[in-house]
Amino acid sequence: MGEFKVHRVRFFDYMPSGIRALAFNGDTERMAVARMDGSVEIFHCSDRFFQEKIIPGREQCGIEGLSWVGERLFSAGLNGGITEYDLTNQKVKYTIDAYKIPWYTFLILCFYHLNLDRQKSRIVSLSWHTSGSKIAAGMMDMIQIFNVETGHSIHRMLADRGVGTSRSKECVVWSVVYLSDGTIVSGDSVGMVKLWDDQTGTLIKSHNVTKCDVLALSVSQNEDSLVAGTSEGTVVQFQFVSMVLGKDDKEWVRTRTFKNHTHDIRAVAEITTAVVSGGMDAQLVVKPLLDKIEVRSAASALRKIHFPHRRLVFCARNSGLMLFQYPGHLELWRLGESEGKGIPGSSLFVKRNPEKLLHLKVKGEDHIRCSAVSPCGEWIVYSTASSLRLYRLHCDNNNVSITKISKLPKVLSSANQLCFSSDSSHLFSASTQSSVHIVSLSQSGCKFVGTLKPKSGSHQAIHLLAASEDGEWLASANSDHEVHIYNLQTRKAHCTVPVYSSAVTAMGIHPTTNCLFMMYADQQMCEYSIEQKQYTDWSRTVQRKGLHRLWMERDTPCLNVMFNPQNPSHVILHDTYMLCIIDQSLPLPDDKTQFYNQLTLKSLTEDQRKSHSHAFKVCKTFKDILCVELISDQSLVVVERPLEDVATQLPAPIKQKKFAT
Amino acid sequence: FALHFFLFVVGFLIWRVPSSVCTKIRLNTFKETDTMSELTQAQFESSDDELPEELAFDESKSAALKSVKDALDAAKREKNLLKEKRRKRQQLFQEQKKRKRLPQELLEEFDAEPQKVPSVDMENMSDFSLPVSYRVMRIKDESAAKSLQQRAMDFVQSRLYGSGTNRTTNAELLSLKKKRGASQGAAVEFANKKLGAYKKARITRSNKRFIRQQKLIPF
Repeated sequence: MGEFKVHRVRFFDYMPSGIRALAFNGDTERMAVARMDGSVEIFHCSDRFFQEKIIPGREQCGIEGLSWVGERLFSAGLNGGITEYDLTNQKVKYTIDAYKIPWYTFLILCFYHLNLDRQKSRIVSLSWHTSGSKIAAGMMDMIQIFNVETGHSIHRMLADRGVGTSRSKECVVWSVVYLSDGTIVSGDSVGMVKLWDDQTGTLIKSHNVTKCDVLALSVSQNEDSLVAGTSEGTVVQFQFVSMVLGKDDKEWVRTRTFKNHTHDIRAVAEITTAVVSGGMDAQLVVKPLLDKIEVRSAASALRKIHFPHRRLVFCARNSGLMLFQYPGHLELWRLGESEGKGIPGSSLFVKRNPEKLLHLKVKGEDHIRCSAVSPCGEWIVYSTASSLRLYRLHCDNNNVSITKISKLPKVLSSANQLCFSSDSSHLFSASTQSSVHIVSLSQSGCKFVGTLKPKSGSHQAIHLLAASEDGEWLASANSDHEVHIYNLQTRKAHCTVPVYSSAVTAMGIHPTTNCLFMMYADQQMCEYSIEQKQYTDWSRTVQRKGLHRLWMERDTPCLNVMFNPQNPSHVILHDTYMLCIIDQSLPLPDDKTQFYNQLTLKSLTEDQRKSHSHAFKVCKTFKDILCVELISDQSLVVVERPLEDVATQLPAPIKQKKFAT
Repeated sequence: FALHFFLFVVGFLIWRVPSSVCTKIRLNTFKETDTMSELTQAQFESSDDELPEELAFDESKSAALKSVKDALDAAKREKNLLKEKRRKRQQLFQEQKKRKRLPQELLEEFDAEPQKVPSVDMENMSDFSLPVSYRVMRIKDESAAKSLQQRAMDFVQSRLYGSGTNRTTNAELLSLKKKRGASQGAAVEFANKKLGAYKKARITRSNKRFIRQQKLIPF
């Protein structure tokens, strides 16, 4: 089958950023997620929660709240400024400073000292009434209801401080939700979820949910379900039901508790069929509500999203160099060397350790959006929201020097995606309006060559680029599921792959057949022949036969497609928990075949193996995989980021007393 | 044999005396075997058939109290000794500091000189005008806005992670998980080489420091 030497890399210290706010757009079924580093991500809830868009953050940026107004997305920062996002081009549109907007203008949660109605008190959370005439504000030790027009306080409701030692500390009302029937729900630092009546300004009911703080609250669209997130990592659901069957008098009753987080939950949201929560452990957890789901499918399983759905690791195939993309800097490493041969599964003796060659800090405060390294290892490029920088690398044994290419063509101001051609002679930069700029690279610097524009279609930002080995073709995939293929000789659009309902997560062009292999978020795959402008026979067979159930049930997307020059029928894929080699010359498995059959095959004889093998060879040795690449000396590089290592560097969790410990 | 019987007697004494003095008594009594064995000698000489005579508790009580007092005296002496050592070290440091300072005269000279404030020549200010696209902003205002953000961040940080919050470490959380997990293993600091290495390094450093400190004390 195939024996590979594997470089197992664990020195990419990638740290995801904690989740601070969630906002669900019911019309478009998109979930916006704001992180502590100021980045905003858009997930498509009905496309396996694929991370469609990423707007990178910047240094010293804190987002406190996120809100959709129609199809527009806004966020509020700690300094009271409001930011609108350009979702087509995946960047910040503009920011309004706090002192320019009247205090009542926006529905966003923010922190600020405010002099409302001649009271100086810290407002910690806000919620509008659906009529738009009243606002409930969660403050220190109390909740106030304000009349929007007059600015006067209608009611002042005092929150209890709790018993024991917590009596000396003020009670912070971390979150409020104003329901359309006039009930106000509050979550505070004492661990209580309280229901208040806005007509009388009194407490209706109090629920003690936890010993620590209730940090987040969210109500469903039709206001029959409420979820609260706590500091301990539990999500508690309340439902508006009648206690006696048949009777009409409903009340809020605590129903379910979910314990899917280890650290503080800072944001919860309820979508139609699930509860989504996120917090300081940086995972986005989607817990389906089983009473809302009819069919047991992949959509009904608990989903935890740890890593971004974009590549952060790039490989210079011909020179054994790896580029790691961090938010604020890039690292270039040279892989180590081993000696001798071993039996499959054993560790080889390391002759030379991997070494860090370059640590390149980003200039300015913006975080890196995309980066790339050329296959020869001589060019490095990265782009932020505001600038693009290209560097020439000189590497002679132990001396590494880098020179910045200062005179860049004006079109290279910022890129959504970057890709080098296979011979490292050209750089492709995906820009606005779904177009791609081509620049040529040489000793003297870089020169603008041309722009590739699609014939028609959307202006959404491109998130994937793939160049062919022979330098003839370039494929681009954008957030509207459009895949355009361009002819690099004529610099014109060649064809467009039929639009599929799911987003493309990875694609690659075969070096000899020039077929574009694409992996989708719903785990489907297809192969499109560029020269013949149609799907290949193999692809049609896969569509007809269908893929194995276990393959379809995988819950992480494939992020890279590679080919093996020594074996043209192989396609190498990976997702977060497995590495797979698809042998297109072998038969496809049907639902009755044993899918994970590598171990079984080992125990069979040569002849038996031939009859039992199928096309999908899955290796589950590696976990928490960020990237798999095949480098020129026929060895695989697998970059793992063990979740345990990530967990040790997270902020401190709440101490929980467990039985028998 | 004598030793065995001896310890039996001591056992009774330990019952009646506070535990903090217990160990000291045991040690001291080994030294003061002369007084105690005199008591027990009498026991030995009597025959084995008879019941052992009752010990006079007053005698043994006074012996025990004496040893307690001796122990306390010894502790006091040690304390005073350390105090002396510390005082002498402090004196030594003061002298070293004095030697390092600049001569007194120079310091006085510096104090006497008035502070020179740089002055701006304001005469030609009327000719100066900003280009249209420029904006004047006080540094105070910008830093005030930033400090608002900083104050808000500090507030949240102190309420969630400050004093009074019941927080633990990630290592402990992971170790607990391992303890109750399907494949039970050692605590994370021992299993995870990176974490373990950090703690190990800390411990070796503090051990080295301790050893160095012990040697540093003069006398």
